[in-house]
Amino acid sequence: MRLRRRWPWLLAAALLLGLAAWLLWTPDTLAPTSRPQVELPRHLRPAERQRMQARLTPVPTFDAGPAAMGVPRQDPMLTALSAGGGSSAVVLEVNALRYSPLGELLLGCLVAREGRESALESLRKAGIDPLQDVDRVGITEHGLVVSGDFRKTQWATLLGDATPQTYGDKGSITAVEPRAEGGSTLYATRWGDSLLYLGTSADDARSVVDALENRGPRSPPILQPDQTYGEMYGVVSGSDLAQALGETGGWGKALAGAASSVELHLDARRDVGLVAEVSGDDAAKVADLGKTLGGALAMGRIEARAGGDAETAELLDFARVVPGRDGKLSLELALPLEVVAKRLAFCRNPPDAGR
Amino acid sequence: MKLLAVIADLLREAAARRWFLALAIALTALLLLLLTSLRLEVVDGALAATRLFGEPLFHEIRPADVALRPVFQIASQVVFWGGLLFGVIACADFGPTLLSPGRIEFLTALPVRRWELLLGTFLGVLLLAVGGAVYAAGGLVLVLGGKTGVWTGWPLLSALLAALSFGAVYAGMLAVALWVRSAALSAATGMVLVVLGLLATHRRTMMAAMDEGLGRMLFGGLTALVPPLGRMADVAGALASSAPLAPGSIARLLLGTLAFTAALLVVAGYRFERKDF
Repeated sequence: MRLRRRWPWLLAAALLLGLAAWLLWTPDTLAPTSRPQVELPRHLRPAERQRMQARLTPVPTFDAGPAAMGVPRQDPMLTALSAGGGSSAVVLEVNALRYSPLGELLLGCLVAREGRESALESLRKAGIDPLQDVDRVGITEHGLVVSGDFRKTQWATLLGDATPQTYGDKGSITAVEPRAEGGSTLYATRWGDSLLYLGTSADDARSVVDALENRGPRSPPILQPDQTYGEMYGVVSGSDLAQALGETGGWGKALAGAASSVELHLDARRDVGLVAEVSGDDAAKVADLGKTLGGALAMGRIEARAGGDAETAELLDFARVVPGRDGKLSLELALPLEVVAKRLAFCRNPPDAGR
Repeated sequence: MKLLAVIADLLREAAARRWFLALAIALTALLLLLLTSLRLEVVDGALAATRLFGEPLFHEIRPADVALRPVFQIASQVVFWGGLLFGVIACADFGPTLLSPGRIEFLTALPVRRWELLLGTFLGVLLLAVGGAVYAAGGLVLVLGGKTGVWTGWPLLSALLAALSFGAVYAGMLAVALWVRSAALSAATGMVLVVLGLLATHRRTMMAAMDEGLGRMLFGGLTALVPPLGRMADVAGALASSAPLAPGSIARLLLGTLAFTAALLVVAGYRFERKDF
């Protein structure tokens, strides 16, 4: 009798333990995180250091004129960007970007939108394959600097019939008159077969060649070689950046007022990571700017969530402002490639594709 | 009703003990300290500055709820493991006291069934665990919510998970106390279950490193039955910090823990029903 009463208890316990063992035999309970683990550009990586060193060339010395002293090697792109002074310059590593997944996406967009007879084709006809021959494109307030291999370029096809004027040892300046519809004269300055400067002032064109050939006073560099990391980098003044972003109120004003310079680095080897280092003379203003930017990010996230855009909200979760010391702060943003691809999907399917 | 009376009796007994009084005072003091010494500056929803005892704490400027995630996660782990260890020590003698000579004869003479006594004791302890965990987590939510405007209920759910995990451990402690009426052995059982729960969390990795044999088989068998407490703690932390979770797996984890608890309570019930007092 006792034996019979014992079994139901023990059987129930055994069944429950078996059930527990079966239920606990589970895979990981934590879902694979959808949060971005994007590597952010914060310093030169080994490959970028090699790239930087390969680009440094000896500074030319000349018998004529007083040569500037103390600059044994230079990166011609950075020298050209700093010529004529200025506070803002941004460089795009076109070649590196072209062979990145992001570059493939952007190129796909460009081809889909422009069709076969695109600007790319026109340049190819002039002997420049922008996807092969262009290494970097630098933008400054004085003009555009393009570096690459221009040995096969047919300059007459590209710049028209204007006669180029030799300047300095390797410089050649061509004044391209404006088209009938208006505009200003474009000064296309070639320096050897590796650098092209496009600007709207003859003085700027000459100062670029002078800087490259180490003549006359040297402007303080906007970018140093050890700042050339990422697929896009540059230094921009706060007001220029606010203007470029079209931000005139709120944090745009705060940015223009507080930031004397913003150093930008964008990594696009796979995912897109952006680091913006903000420096200012007034530490209190920079601290306030950090709070304003942090608030803007938080508000953007709330708006994205309220608007049902969970993906953007999720991404903004990981945007952050890191206050530094002595009037500095850092803004970090990350975009996984999958998100960028989704955002660019619209341009690979042009509106008239179905016609 | 009788079950409720047993639970109320256990809570009365707990209230008379200094362990629980000390815990309540410590938690209250900690929350008051946070309330009075922590200054949080929130700008447009972003946590812009933090001061503790007037000293600025260096941190990133991020949306306040994102910035508070690690705080809730750490608090959840403290509540989970701290609560587990405190509960094992402080509740170890509830079972032995229930069975103490004189008292058990008195209780069994009352019109209360034995299973009601057993379940009432277990639920009373579980209620204590829930109360402590929810008080700590809820207090933190109130303090931080009041200062930042970020209100979240997830830390409370995380606290319930911690209490549920303690319930599994306490069921084992109670079952052992019914065989050997010893608070020390009951506490030791609790500790062993906590350690087994930790080992169960890393079961696969550890078994992969073991040689085939009886030891590996024994280890595999034991750790297959015990709820993986480390995983439970991770889930509690993830819940508290609003991290993504795999819902199906959590349901299995919770149900598995409940089944384990029920199995040990059935073993305890089997012993209690058959024991002569």
